[in-house]
Amino acid sequence: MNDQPRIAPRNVDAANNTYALLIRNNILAWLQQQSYFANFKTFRTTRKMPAKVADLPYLGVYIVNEAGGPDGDINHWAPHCTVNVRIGFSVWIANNDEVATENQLDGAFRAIMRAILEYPVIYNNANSRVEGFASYTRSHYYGNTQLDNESSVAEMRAELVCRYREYYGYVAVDDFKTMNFKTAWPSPSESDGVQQIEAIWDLPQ
Amino acid sequence: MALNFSTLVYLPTFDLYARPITVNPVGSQPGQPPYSIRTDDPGSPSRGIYNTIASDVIGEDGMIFTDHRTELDVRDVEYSVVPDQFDIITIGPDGELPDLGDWEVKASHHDAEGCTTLTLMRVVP
Repeated sequence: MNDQPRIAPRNVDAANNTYALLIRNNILAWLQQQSYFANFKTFRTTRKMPAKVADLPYLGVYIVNEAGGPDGDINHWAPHCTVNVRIGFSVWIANNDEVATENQLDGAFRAIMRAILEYPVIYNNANSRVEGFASYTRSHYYGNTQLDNESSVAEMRAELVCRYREYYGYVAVDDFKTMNFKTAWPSPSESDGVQQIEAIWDLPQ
Repeated sequence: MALNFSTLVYLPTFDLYARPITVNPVGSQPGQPPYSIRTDDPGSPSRGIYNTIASDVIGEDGMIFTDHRTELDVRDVEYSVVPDQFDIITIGPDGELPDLGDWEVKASHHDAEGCTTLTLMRVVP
C-alpha cells in the first residue's frame, strides 16, 4: 500500500501519511459537524501551541501514540501489521458552577463517543478504515495540580484506541528482465553427457 | 514583648499597595449582604493587595493551557470575618488602575503575622 517515497508533502494521503493521521483527521472533521461542538471556538490537532482562555471552548484531537504488531506470521510475505492508534481528546470549558461543569464535561464525552461509535463514518471510512475500537479511557480535571490557577477551566480527557491494518508491499529494486531455464537430467553430476534442454525468456518491460 | 508584625510591617505596606474591594460573603457569612468597608476603620474601604503570576496548566498528553495564579492578601484585623472560600470579591477601578472584575475565592491560607492570602478564580460571566 504505502510503496511511494515519503517526502513529507503538504497534502495528506495514504501513500505519504499513515492511516493514523487520516483517522485522526476524519474524527476531528466528523466531530466538528456534531451539534455539541457547534459553539466551540478552537479545534486543534496538535499540542504545539498552548491554549488560552480566549480559545475556549476548545476541542483538541491528537495522535497520542500508536503501537503495531504482526498481522499473521512475521516471516511470511510482505510485512503486515495490526496497529492500535491511541487518539486523544481534550475538551476545555470554563464555568464556575462545579456541577454544571461536570455535566458539560460528561456531555462532551458522550457526544464524542456517540458520534464515533453510533455512525459508520469512522470505522467504515473509505480512506482509512477502522476495524474496531480496542479500549478507551476518560477523566476530568479542574485546573493544575495545586488547583490555584485563576481561570475556572475544566478539561475532559479521553483516549480511544482505534485498530487498523497497515500492509507494506515489497518494492522491487532489480528488474526481472530475463529467465534462463536449463534441465539437468538425470542428475546434476551426470548431466554433462546428456543433451539438455535450455530455454531463455526475455520479458518485455 | 513580640513585635506586632501586622501593624509594623503589613499596615504601611497595605497603605501603599492595597486597593479597594467589595466582598460578597457567600461562603464566609452566608446570607449577609456585600460590604466594602473595614471593620477596624469604618471610614476606610475594604482592601487587599492584588498579585498575579503565570501558572500553566498541563492537559491531555502534555498540552499546555496558559493561565495565572492570582492572589489577594488581606489583613485579618481589617475584617470581622476574613473572606473565605466561595466569597465573591469585586476588584473595581482604583485611580488609574483598571477594573479587574469579579473573583471567587478558591482557597485561603493565613500566616502567623496576621495576613491571609486568598487564591482567586475569575468569575465567568
